[in-house]
Amino acid sequence: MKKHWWPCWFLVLLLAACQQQHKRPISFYYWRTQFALNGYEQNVLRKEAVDTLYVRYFDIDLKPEATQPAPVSPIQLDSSINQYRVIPVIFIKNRTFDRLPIADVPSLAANVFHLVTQINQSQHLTTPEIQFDCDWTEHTRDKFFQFIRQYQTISNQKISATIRLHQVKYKERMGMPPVSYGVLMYYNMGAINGDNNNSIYERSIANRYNAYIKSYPLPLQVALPLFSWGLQMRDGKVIDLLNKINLTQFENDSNFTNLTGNRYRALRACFKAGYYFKQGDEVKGEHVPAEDLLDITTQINQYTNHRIGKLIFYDLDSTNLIQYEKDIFKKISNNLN
Amino acid sequence: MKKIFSKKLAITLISSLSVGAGIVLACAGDWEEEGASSNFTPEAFVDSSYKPFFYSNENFYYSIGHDTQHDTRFNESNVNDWATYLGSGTPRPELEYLLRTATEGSIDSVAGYTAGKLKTLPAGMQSFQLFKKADKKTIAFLTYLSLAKKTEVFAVNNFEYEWDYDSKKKNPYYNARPLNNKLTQEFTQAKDPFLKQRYWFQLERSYFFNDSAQKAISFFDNNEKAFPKNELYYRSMAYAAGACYKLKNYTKANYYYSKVYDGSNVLKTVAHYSFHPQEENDWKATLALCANNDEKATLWQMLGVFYGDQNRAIQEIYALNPRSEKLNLLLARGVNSEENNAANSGLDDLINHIAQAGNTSQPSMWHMAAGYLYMRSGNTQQAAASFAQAEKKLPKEKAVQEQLRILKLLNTVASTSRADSKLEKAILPDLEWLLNDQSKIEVRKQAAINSIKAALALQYKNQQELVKAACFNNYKEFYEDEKNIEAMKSFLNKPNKTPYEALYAKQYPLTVNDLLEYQAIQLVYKENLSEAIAKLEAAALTDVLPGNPFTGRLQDCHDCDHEAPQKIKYTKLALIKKMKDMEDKIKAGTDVYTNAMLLANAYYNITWYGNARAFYDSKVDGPFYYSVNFFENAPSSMDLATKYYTLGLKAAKTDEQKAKCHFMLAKCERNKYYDEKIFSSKNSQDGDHGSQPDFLAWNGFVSLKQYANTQFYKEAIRECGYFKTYTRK
Repeated sequence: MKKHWWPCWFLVLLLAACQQQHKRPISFYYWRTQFALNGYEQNVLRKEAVDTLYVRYFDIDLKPEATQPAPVSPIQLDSSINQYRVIPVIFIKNRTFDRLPIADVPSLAANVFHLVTQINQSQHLTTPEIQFDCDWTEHTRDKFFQFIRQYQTISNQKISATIRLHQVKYKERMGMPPVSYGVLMYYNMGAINGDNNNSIYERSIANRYNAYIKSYPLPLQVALPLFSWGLQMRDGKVIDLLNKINLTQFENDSNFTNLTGNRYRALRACFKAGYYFKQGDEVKGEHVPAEDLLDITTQINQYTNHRIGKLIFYDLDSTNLIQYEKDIFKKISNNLN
Repeated sequence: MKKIFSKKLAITLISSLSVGAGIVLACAGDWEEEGASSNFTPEAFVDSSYKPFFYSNENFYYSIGHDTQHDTRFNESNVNDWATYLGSGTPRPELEYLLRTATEGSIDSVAGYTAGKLKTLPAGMQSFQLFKKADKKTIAFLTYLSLAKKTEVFAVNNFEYEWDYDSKKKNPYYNARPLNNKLTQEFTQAKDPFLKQRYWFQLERSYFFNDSAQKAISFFDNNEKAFPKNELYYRSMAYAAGACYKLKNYTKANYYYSKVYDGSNVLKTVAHYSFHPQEENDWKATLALCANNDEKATLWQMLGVFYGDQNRAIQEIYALNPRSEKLNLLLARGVNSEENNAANSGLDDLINHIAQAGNTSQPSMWHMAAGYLYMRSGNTQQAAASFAQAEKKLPKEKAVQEQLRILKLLNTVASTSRADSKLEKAILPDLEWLLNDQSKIEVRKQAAINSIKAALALQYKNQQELVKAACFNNYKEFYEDEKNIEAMKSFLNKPNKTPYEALYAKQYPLTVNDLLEYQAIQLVYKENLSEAIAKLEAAALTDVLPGNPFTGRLQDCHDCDHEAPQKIKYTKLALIKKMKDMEDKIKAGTDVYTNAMLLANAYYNITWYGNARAFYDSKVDGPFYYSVNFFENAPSSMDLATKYYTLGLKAAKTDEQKAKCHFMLAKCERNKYYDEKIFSSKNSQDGDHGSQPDFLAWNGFVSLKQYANTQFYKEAIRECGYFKTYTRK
């Protein structure tokens, strides 16, 4: 017997040694429409001992020509999802609540609950918690909050909501969602206008909001940006977001010229990475380097009164992950008090 | 610029946690009719099969929003095709039921029945004429239908059940082998070309969903030459294109999609949604696959329309074939996008260059477009020259002729430096047509009507012909001068108007009675009741005020007054007649206190603070869409109310009466304070009430204190918390 047991123990020890022990649990958002993790992503999850994933299930939109809200691109799961504790995230486009009559909120909640249940059943999942992501406004807040209360009644689940920085700063006007906790989105604070600021994270802009975080009366977790994107600009205006694009490919393309570090201009009209560029279009790459992520944790230490529960990274995608050193999560986690 | 029509948007419809609304959609403006701000009508020039791709300011697809036909697109043609195959006597409702509604099981039962294996037809189909024939074609149809129903499990999306996940989910465990074997067998054996093509399509689709992509491509390529290039052909081709896409063969995928786009109108939006070159090299390779210039022109049109580079696409297609009809859509989109774009894209020069060459299939369209863009940039002379060229080659179609007529009229008005009788004579027929026959005009006209009326009004205003100006574009300042109103009344009353006068009189939204009412109202606030009565009597209005305007309350409550039972209902005229009576009695010294208080109440109530706001609403200045000064300057002066409450105080005999007068004067004082210190301040309007004092003791309150023993005083304390606060200070 002994002979057979010891290699197993060794394996367990080996695995344990590979895993990072974080002072605080970390988690990820999964934001693709097919749940399928590649090897790189699986490795990161294993190494960082991630057991919980926030998985976008579907969006909800009430399109201008539609009369009822409808789900957009429900996720297709596969059985590998069963390894994780899943918290479904539903993105609700704010315009949904702009036009939805308050009397229709209960049926929307029932539809959402039904669809989440169906998606879960497809892989025999149970999800005791859910998160709603909606950039609600003063105008829509009552309906959004009513929707949450309604969902709570139907599902009897724990509910969380994403919180944008402007919602923290203007909490009197924006109101507070009736949820167990909020996830503070510590990114996308600047205007996406192609100026010299980074629209994903800019310290000076963060400073306009930091002072308000301490007194926000909800328990908070924080979401940090791992993603990068390109802004496509024409005549000085941003016309498109180039998601998950690798900027280095512009470097060796004779159709483009490098203007400054992260800016390129199309010398002639062409297709590139699935996007079309007119002659003269510019691309500005934006991402959040490791030092900025560490800077964010410093800000959080300073302004949040040690009240952040968990770190959630947006989003789990190897195109994002490969841009960072492998120990980035450990560093960030250790930097957080 | 609102640019919704973005190829990339179609691909990245899902949110990101960061910017859900996205850039391109962050522009949900007010809804307006498609093309409402445009003067250039694509419908007049461009083939209607391109309609979803006309430029739209609001929608993803022009006029339809999004493509929602995914499961229903071929319902109609499917029934038509089978009706043709089965022969003219086939009852259409039966076909529709069988093709769209009947289940796989019931079709199998019908097949069993026609083969003599079953004795009865399934419920709902027992009276079907079709099965009475049970000829060879019917049996072939049922055999096909039975297999086709089996494919629905993977080929139909059930988009109408949007909240139903299971109906959308593909069954990954579906074993298509038996189905494919059967379809292959039927395909191989079929002699009838109609049936053979249908089985070909079914197999192609099944391979796309259930087999290797390469197999789907080969199956299409090896057989496509045998079939006519009909709708089913392009449906099959679209699956082959999708299979190429799966294999990342973007070159061929996009080439096939371009053929689908060009060959099938009903699949145009599908091809648009799927067409997606990745890199410049695969795009160039797609161009190289083209068998001829027309195929290349299709690709350039797709690039120009789907990726918004009209100028480049026009140049490329023009170089390939100046007469290509594919230029028309690009030209219309170019002009329409220019209408929404401040920056000059160089389109005007390009269009003019092509127009001057005169070698396109629709020369007049190019001249009109060039002229219109010249006009927009202020070069009306050049525009006129272009329109003259357009006229020489003008086709007979009504819409095209109307388009030119509107553009020429716009240009004539835009180029004028003086709106004199010569101009009026010149534009009269066109203006009458545009303004009086609007409903018969097919092309876009609302923007032209608005801008022509505004331009003429401006011109007349500059020329001090204010009646004409107000007729074409009613404006607020016009009513500030009594002379203008009198001039307008005379003009409206003038008999035998010239045709031009009749035309602009018709544009004026108000009547003489409306003006009389307005004048009467103004006179009341000047305390000129006699003249006001005369005017209102002439205006003959019957609207009733919602409450008793002689009521005076401790606390203003309009709703209470409007709900209170009223013995006498007052029209505006009845009110001022009664006010005049009271005024006369006061002058005669009859019951001065009572009359002064009632008159004061009336003067109070016909201000913004009172219960009879409806009194000052009129069609000139009121809540109507054509009113010029909607609620901006509601009368709020307390001068007349104060005058008569003060008069009442002088005439008051008892302490009760005096107490009441002081309280009413306090209300006037308070309102005056609101007016002068708060409502007139910009900050206050924006909601900033930061520096206002918490409490002000009105003079009326100070005076009222000496009547603490009165009943009124006690009532005031009970009703008015503000006063109560004051008494405790």
